[in-house]
Amino acid sequence: MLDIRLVLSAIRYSKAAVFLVIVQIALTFAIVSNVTSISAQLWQKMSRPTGMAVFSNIAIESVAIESNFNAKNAIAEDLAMIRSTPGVESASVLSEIPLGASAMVPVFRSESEKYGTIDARGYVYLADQYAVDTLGINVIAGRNFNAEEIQEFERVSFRGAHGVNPVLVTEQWGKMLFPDGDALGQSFRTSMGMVKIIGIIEVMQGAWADWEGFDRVALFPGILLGNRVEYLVRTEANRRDALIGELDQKLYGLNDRRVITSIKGQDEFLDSQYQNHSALLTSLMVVGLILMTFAVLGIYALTKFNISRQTRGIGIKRALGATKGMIVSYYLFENMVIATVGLLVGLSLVTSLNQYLVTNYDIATIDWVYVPLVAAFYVVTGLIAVYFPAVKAANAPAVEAIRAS
Amino acid sequence: MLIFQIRLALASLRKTPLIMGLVVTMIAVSVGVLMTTFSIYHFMSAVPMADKKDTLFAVQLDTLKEWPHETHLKMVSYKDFQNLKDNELPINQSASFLSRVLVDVLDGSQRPFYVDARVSTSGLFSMFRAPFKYGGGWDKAQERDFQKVVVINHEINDKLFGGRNSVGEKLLIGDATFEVVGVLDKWVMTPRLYDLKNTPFGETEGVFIPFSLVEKLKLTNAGNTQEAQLAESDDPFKAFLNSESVWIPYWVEFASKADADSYRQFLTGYVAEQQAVGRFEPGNDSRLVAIEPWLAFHEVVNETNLLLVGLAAMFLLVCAINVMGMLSAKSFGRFKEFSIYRALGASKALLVKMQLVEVLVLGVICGISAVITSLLGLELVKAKFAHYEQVAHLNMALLLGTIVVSIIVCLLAYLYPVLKASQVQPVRYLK
Repeated sequence: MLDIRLVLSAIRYSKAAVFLVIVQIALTFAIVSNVTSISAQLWQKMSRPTGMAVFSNIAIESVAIESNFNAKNAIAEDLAMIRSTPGVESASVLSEIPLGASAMVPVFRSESEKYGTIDARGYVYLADQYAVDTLGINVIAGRNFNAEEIQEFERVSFRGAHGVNPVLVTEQWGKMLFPDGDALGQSFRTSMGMVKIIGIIEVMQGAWADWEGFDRVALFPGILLGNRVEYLVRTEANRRDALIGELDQKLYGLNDRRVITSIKGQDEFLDSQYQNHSALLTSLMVVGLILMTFAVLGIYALTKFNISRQTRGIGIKRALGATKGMIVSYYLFENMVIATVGLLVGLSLVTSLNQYLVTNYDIATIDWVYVPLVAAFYVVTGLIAVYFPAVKAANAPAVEAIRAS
Repeated sequence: MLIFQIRLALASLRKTPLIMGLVVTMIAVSVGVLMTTFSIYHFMSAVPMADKKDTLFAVQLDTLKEWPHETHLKMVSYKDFQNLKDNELPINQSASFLSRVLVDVLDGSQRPFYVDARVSTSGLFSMFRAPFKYGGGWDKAQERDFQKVVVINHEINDKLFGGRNSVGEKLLIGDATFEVVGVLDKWVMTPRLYDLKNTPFGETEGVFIPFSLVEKLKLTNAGNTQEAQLAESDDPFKAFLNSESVWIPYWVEFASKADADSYRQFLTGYVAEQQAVGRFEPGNDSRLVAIEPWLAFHEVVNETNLLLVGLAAMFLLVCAINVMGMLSAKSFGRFKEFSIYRALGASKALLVKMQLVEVLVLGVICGISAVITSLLGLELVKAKFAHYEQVAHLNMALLLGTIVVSIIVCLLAYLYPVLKASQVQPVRYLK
């Protein structure tokens, strides 16, 4: 019964319909494979490690109203209050909040006989000696800042510092400047003064998720004095939400002549970073899922309709001794043959669609892992879509089926 | 007769509820997705002020060469603007930047709050056709005399003054008292030409402050700054203003093309003059740029939006093929019915006409459903992604387009089955 010739001769009677099904399968396969691959790549991009304890951190921006504001005292007062609040593990003052959309992006320039001159931009955050703990980053080599190294600058005028400044850099940035991985201890020129690398950070992300240098980050020892102050507060994770409200009130209690322009979890910055990515990911997944559903429903509706037209033929076959199983397997087999042809045609479309996307959009080549997965999913759901109408038809009593028109 | 045929068509559609339900759902969803993505793309890639394409230009100055970067071409430095602004050729000039200021009421009845502000020259309002609810922009004389006047948007007006005509009222910005001279109405401009670098799809700023007050009030830039080295100084703000740092998007508008040409000569002269004192390296790219190339240079249209439109179009294609398959199946199943009509004397043309009425009825149903899904889709986009609010809407043309596209898809999908069915040979099916 499962003879390919039988299927082929059956197909000859409805060439147009079968052709449509094959085109539809091929197109759906090509689109869904690419969509799956793009979604997976987006997902990978969005789940890169931040290197920081973003889910335990609260980011606070406070702006003083008075123009003759004594920032130095106010910061010390605020930090003392924050650190003494139960549930707070550590607190720091930073130039900007990492993962927030703004940061300084100076050029670091390493000059050595070994590598020549290497320019690489990255993010720089001014930070105090507590920042490593507050951020939750790992210093894998070298040391953290000590209290004497933290200098004070006016925010409005800060463009860099004199002397040789100790900095912590991420391993990624260090490797760009010193490809052999010997960045620790090196001194070099930057667009914000001379620096010396005293510590290597395992991983830390900066300000723009779409930029290739997202994980090129350095901490520079310093506090910016100005009306705008950025605090980062590390909390016990389960008390964070309660602490957001509590700290907001306490900060106003300490000094009413300010505006807390923003107080929220650091992870919310991560959400904003990936807002466009997650919009694209959602749209792709929704379209992909609906497409698959429609394709399967289409096959279901078509098979159901076709089988209902063949009721009489099925009745005759049954009367001549065909078992129910044979009838059902015939339709399953027919569907398999058509699906296979569709998938084979689709395979070439998968590649050409992907090539088009790669040349015209900023999209990586397809990850072939997902192609067989999509194909398998398609075959299985297609078989399920055929199975039910086929069983229903096979179960009809032969006598009635033959009488049907 | 037509009404009878429509009723006949509806009856025929009801006979196969599964297929017709799927057909309507598929077309409604796929056309809906296409129109949602397309309308966002359409409004993002719009060219505002298109009628000013020969008279409105962005000023591009090529000054910063220190660290190679294209961004410095998008904005000009404070000192270049000061040098260029007194030229009489432009009828309007818009130099502006984004700032954040503290707004407060005089009587202390509300908590002060920070709001996005645009510090701009008086020309911005007429150049970009700002819609005013009350009052208007300030004039050049007020700007020259450093008058503390302010234009607020309708949201700030609602918040501070309960939505009444507040022209002449006072408010505090930072420590300074300002007088309201104008209240803006809802102002949709996509993209927001006057600052494509920082706020191409942003909301209208809460307050607009005269540019001449920058030094007096030390208004700082909250947008992008391409930093340059500062001179050593006791007054860092002044040092910043005098530096080569670029941070001001600068537009000029002329009464005629001839004026624009004269201004080009003036600009060439200015660059030469500055080169004589050691600025503007040779071979530099300083010029006037028209609206469309300026938009292209800023790449305001996110390429993923076009990708989504393409994807939606392919989605529609697959759905159309699917629909074609189902409609063919339905049509082939009716050969016996058609044969009876033919045997009873119906012409082939009548059969075609009957089916056309049917597919038009189907098309209209699909079209209306597609409009509903498009609107739902756009609402969803707006609810989830705040920064699409300016671009996520349908206009009349898109609305009609949605219905037309649906009907065309139905017609195309039905073309083959209709032709095939009208060729039916009654003898074969009536035995």
